[in-house]
Amino acid sequence: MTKDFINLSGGDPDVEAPQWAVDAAINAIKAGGDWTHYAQMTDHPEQFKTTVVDYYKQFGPEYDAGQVIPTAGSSAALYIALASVLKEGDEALLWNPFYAGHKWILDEMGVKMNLAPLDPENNYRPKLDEIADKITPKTKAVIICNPGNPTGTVFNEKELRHVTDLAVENDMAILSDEIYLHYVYDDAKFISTASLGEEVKERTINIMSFSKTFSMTGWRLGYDIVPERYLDRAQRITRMTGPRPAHFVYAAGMAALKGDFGYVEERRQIYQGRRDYFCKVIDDLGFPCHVFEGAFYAWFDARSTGLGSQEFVDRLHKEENCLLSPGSWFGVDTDGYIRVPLVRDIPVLVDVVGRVKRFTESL
Amino acid sequence: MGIFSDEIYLHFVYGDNKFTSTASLSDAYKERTINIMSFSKTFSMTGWRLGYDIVPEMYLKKAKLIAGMAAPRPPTFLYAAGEAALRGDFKYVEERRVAYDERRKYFCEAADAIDGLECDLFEGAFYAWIDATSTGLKSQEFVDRFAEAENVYFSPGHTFGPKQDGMLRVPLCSKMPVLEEGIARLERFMASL
Repeated sequence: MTKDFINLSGGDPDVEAPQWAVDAAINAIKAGGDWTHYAQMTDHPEQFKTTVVDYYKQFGPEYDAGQVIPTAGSSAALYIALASVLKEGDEALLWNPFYAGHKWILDEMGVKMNLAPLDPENNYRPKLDEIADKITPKTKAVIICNPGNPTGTVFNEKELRHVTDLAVENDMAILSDEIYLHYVYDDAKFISTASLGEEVKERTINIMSFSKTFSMTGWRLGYDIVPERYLDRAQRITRMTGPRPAHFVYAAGMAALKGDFGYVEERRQIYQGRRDYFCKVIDDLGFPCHVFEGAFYAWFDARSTGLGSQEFVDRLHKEENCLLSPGSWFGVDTDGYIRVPLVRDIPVLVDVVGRVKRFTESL
Repeated sequence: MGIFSDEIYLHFVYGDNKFTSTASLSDAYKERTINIMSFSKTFSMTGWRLGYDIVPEMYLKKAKLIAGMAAPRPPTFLYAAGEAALRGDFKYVEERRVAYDERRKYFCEAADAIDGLECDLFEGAFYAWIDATSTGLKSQEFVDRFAEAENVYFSPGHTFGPKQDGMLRVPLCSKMPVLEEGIARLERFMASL
């Protein structure tokens, strides 16, 4: 008997967007008129940007609405941010493990990655004394993925200050990918990078998304918040590549940001419950599993199987019809690790654990 | 050379004119032609943000790489709207074409009849292109003064090419009564110069 396919290769939430966001978009489409025609002929983008800056000041500094660049998803926001501050031959500081999407795009841009370690022996905290020596005169930017993918690391104030001080000293841009900001657990607290002071804010580009916060991956809505010094360039790249959200999706975005964040808190508690379950049982199978403090990715060490990440994933896929992500994509020296986005309900995760158990016992 | 064939108005051609797909001319053309396509004009879906390239093998890898990086992806559910549009009844499109044709015949002739303006009948798309060089005004000045005097906004022709200063572009995207009002205001403005 063939088992149902369980695809846990990507971080795609298993629920719908808040109903009020869905309704807002559908109503906008049905209303037609402005809402289904060119957005730039209306004040809707401006309203959206104002909604964004009102929202963001809960965590961080105040911005002008004009500093928000809406995009069709945060992948486009990431590209605009990177292309605004980096060019071929430059270097960027990031972390090991890192988000595979960051590596892919930097490789394609011809930007060298200088990796500072997140310490697996210390809950994947950054090793502060091993950052400065990764910065050279060619290092033009640091990417802070906070909370991080895949390790869920939530930078505390001391860590964030250490990194941003180095960025200021070395005249580097700071790219703050905060798309998981609402998903932090236990005592961890999200701190907005740009909130650390004017000289940090003026060099920080926030990369933001509705995909994870409001389970809106298919809606393609994200944005950058860009300081004055990079704004012209970011706007020019945006005009050229044109990754504009569908007009009526602005209505959904505004409804989400102005709506009840009980939705988000409920999601947060669900992710936390899944984490508490999954990390413990995987750990009990003999695969040390990192109890993450942010985002929603389990990250476990399967090196005791003797398999590389890719082989583990491929064979589990073939033998148990369950697709996970190879840790080797997300870092150097991470071969043998496996990433599991906890975007299915506990009964499915129980099933996943059963399949991992059967597979690894068969080795 | 690469051939970029921007065909977003392909359904809107008038009279005896016939649209020919660039890539249809031969394999040698097809293999170096990138079609730039859109739902915006054909199905009046400007706010939906749905378009596509059709890319020959020769450029496909590079095009995919750029698309992957810049990532201007449509919302997933808009693929459903796009498929429904393409598989649906093209009478919608023919109705639009007939409406644009009617507007074209009215507006171009009426603009041409105004002293000091010339406007030829266009074959495709839906833009009237008015020669106002006899007024001695540059495009931008004409557009600004007309907007101020009559609260009608045209596009200045000089942004559409060198030696186009003095030309005006008018998308015929408003209904007939609005175009008639536009002509009346244009007449009054021209008489005031």
